[in-house]
Amino acid sequence: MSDDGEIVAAFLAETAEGLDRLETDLVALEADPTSPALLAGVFRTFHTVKGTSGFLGFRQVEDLSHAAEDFLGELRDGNLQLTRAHLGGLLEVVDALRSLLGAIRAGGAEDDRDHEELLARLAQRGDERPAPPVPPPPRRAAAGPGTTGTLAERSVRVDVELLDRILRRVGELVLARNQLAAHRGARGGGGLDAPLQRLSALLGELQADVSRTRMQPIGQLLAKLPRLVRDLAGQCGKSVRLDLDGGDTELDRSVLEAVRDPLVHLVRNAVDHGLEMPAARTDAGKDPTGRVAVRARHEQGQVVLEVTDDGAGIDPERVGRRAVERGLIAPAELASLSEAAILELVFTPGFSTAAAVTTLSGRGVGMDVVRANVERIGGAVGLHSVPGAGTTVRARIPLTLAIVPALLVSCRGSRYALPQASVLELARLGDAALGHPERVEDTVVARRRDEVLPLARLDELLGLGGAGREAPGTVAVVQSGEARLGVVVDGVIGTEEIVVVPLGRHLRHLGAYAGATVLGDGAVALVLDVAGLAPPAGRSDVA
Amino acid sequence: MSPEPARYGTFHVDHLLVGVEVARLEEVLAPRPLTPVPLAPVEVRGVVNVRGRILTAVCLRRFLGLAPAADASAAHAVVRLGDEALSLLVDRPGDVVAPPASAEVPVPAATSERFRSRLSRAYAGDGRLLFVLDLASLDAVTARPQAERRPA
Repeated sequence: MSDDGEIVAAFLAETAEGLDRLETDLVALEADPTSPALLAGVFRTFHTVKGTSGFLGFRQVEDLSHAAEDFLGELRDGNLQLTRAHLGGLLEVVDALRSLLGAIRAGGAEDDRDHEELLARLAQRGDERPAPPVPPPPRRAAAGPGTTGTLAERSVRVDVELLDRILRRVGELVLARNQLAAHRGARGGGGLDAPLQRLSALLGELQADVSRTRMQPIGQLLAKLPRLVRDLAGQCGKSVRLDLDGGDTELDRSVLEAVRDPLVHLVRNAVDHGLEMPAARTDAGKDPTGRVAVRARHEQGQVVLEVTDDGAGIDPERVGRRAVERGLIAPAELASLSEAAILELVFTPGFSTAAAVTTLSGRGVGMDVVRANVERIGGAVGLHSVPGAGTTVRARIPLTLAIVPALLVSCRGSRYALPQASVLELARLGDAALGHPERVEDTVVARRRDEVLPLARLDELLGLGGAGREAPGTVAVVQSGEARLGVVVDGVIGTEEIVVVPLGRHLRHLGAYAGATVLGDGAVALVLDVAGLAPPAGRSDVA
Repeated sequence: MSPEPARYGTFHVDHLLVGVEVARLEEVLAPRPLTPVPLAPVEVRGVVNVRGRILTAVCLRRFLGLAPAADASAAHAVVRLGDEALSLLVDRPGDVVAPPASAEVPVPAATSERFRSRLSRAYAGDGRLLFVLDLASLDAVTARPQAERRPA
C-alpha cells in the first residue's frame, strides 16, 4: 500500500470509530440535552473529522462535518436549544458521513451525492418546534465517553489482519515443533529433550497470548444498539429504555462478528414484537416506557448474552396455534407438549414468516436463523417467557472459535483440509500397512492389517470424475462412527491448525463439507466432512 | 409527499446493466482468486476470502441465464442477503444511479421466464435499460450438482 493509501486507511478507521462514538453520544444527548461534557465531546469529534478530511481533500465530508460543528458551536454556547429534530438532523449527518466513507473505502473517492438539503437544514438551525418528551437515558455500565484517556495511552492500533497472520505463524511454529519432535523420536534423544520441552511450553504460552490479542470487548457491538433502539422506537411509536450491561466482556473477534446479526435481530424483536404500545402498557398497569436490557457476562468459560424485555411475553397458546396453521406440528402432537416445548417452536424454520413479518423485524429472518447462527459457532440459544411480564432470550457462545489441527491434502489442483481427529493414518497403496488394492464385486478394497478397507478416490467422491487418470497412491484412512474409508488423494501437503468457518446458505446442504478455512497464504480451502463423504456406488478407478 | 427515488449500484453483466439497491450493497471488490466448490449449484463459482470472511461467489451471468464469460476474472459485488453476505460476480462495476419512478418500464416480455423471475423491475434511461436484481431470488440457487456423479 502506498503512503497515501495508508493515510486514507488510517483516516477511514479513525473516522469510523469517531462516527460510532458520535452516534452513542448523540443518543445520550437526547436524554441530557444540556450536558456540557457530551456537547463538547460531539463538537470535538466533528471538529477532528473536519480537520482530517480537509487535509485529505474529501470535500463533502469536510462540508458536512463543518456544518455540524458550527451547529454544535451554537448549542454549546447556549444560543440554541437542542430539539429532537436537531438530533435527527445530526444523526443524518452521521449516516451521510458513513456512506461517504463507504464510497471512499470502495472507490478511493467520495461519490457524487447531494447534501444541499441537509446542509441547508443545518444552516437554518433546523426545526424550532419544542422537543417532545424524551425517554430516560440508556444506562451504561461501562465508563462513559471521555474517560478512556489512560487506557488509550497504553494501547496501540494493530491491523487485525496482522494479528491473524501472527496467529497463523504460531500455528506453523507448532507444526515445525511437531516435525522436530518426530525427527528426534526417530533418531533418539541426543540431548534435545530439554530444549524441546522448553520450546513446547513457550509455544503454548505464545499461542495463548496471541489468542488473547484477538479478544475484543462486546461493548463495541452494544454501542450500536442505542441508535438502533431509538430509530426503532420512533418507527413503532413506542417509548423504550435500553439498559446495557457487561460491555467489557471479551470475545474473540471472529465470534464477535458472528453474534452481531443475531444480537441485532433479538433487540429488534424485543422492541418490535416484545414490547406493547404505551397505551396498552398503561392499561396493564405498567410503566408506559418499555424496557429492553442487553447483558453480557462470562460464565463457565463461555459468554452468556441475554436480551430481555418487559413486554407482553409470548403466549404459548398463540405459538401452538400458529405452528399448527403453518403445518409445523400436528394438533394431536401439540396437545402432548409442555409449555416450554411449545415455546421452543418459535425456533422452527418457517415459524416466523409472512404474517408475523413487519418492515422492522421482517426481512425473512426469524428466530430459526438466530438459533442457526449461534449454533454455527458452537453456541446455544434458549428462550424464557412469562405472559404479561416479558421475554428473555439467552445465548451461550464460546469465547473463541474452534481451532482444529487438520491434514491438508491435494486433489485436482485444489487443497482440502481433513480434520485430524477423523484421520487414523496415512499410507501408500502397495506399502506394508495397506497392500495392493483389490476389486471385490463393485468395490475396491485394500487389506489394512486384519481388516478390509473400502477405498474411494477423493475426486470421485466430490463428483469430479476419476476416469482416465492414473490412480494416485496416497491414502488417508478416515473414520466416521464405526465406518472406515480409505480416501485416495493426489498428495499430502502437511498439517495446519485451522479455524473452521461455516459455508454460506447455498453450500451448507452439500454434506461433503464441514466448512471452509482461510489458509496461511490467504486462499480458501474446503474442510471435508468425513461423515458426508459417501463412497460412490459402482466401480471405481483405484485399481 | 413522493418517496425518494431508490438508488442503485449498477454492474455490467454481459451486455446488460444490472442494478442492486445501494442499501443492500456492502462493497465492491476487485477480482480475486476463487476456490471452486465441487458438488455446488451451477451458479456458484466458488468461495472467496474477503478479509477473513468466507463468502459464496455466485456468477450473475449464469444466474441470469446469460452467456458465460470468456475471461474468468470478474469483480465482486458483495450484497447482504438476509443473515449473510454473498458475492455476486459481475463483469465490471458501473455508476450509482437513482432513476425517477417515472422511468420504470416493464421487463421485456421477450426475455426468458427465468430471467424475468430474477429481476424486480426495470428502468429506461440514457439509451439503455437498467435491470434491478431481485435479491430474494438468489435463494433460487439450490442443489444441482455441477458435475454428474458417476451413475451407479
